[in-house]
Amino acid sequence: MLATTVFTLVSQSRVLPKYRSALVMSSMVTFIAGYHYFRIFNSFNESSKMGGVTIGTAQGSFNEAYRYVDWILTVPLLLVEVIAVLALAKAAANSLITRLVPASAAMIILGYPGEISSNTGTKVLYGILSTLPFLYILYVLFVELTKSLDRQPDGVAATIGRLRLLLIATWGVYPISYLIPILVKNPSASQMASLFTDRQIGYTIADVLAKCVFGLTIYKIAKMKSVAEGMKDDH
Amino acid sequence: MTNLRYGGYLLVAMGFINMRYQTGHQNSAVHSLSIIIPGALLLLATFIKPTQKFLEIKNVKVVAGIAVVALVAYSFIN
Repeated sequence: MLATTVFTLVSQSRVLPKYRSALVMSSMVTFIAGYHYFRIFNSFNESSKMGGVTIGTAQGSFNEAYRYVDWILTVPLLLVEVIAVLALAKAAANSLITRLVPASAAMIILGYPGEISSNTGTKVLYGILSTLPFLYILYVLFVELTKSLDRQPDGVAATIGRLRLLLIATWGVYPISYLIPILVKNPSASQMASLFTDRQIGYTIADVLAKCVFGLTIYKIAKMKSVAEGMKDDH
Repeated sequence: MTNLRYGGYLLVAMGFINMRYQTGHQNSAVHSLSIIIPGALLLLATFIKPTQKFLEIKNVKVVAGIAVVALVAYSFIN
């Protein structure tokens, strides 16, 4: 995460000034996520006692709310990055942002009650509720955004298409990880520990893909557009 | 201006993550709010015209930038 932060920061001179804000946003997303992981490691250390991890909301326990605080602050920025790198007309950009940002916040907020619940029904209910804004985000990205891609340089529209697929693929890992705890009925203590670990690994992989790979793709688009608009490709 | 806006947002974000981590610790509110409040004020200032003009002064920009870096460092050590 921090390596991507450094890369996107030092690469700013390789793109035209109008695309630099997208790279700065990408740097912020990976830096905030890197800081979040730094704190998550601290929390794991504090909550690990005698080979186990205490999970809950009390002091010294590992709390999944960490991830949700990170996501609610970074996921809307990820979507704004996409709009920023396209450098659309102000009205079109504002229209997309005002729809994508609240939908992404709603998706995360609705996921949290299910995340902390041990009841399968509650998990499924909030899983479905948080999927609704996710579907709306996909609609905006695949239907509404497509209308704005006509005037993009050659290759950019295809890369945006791949970026959207990357988004579906990586964001698809989150619900799988979210549902891992309900895959085994009446798990034993060791199974519960294993399920917890699997979920953390799933979320971590998804975070790296959704933030680092996504950010690097944004850089690629910014670079392609800069070259298409006359910037010398000397890097 | 945009960079200062991002700096403000960064402090708010790191402050909230810090607050979550500090939950239950002594003086947790003081530690985390000392990151969140300057971040929120900076973020707000970048949207208000009179304060925007103030932030455009070169020395103010430098001081604000140093403050952001210092608070980011503080969020790692507290």
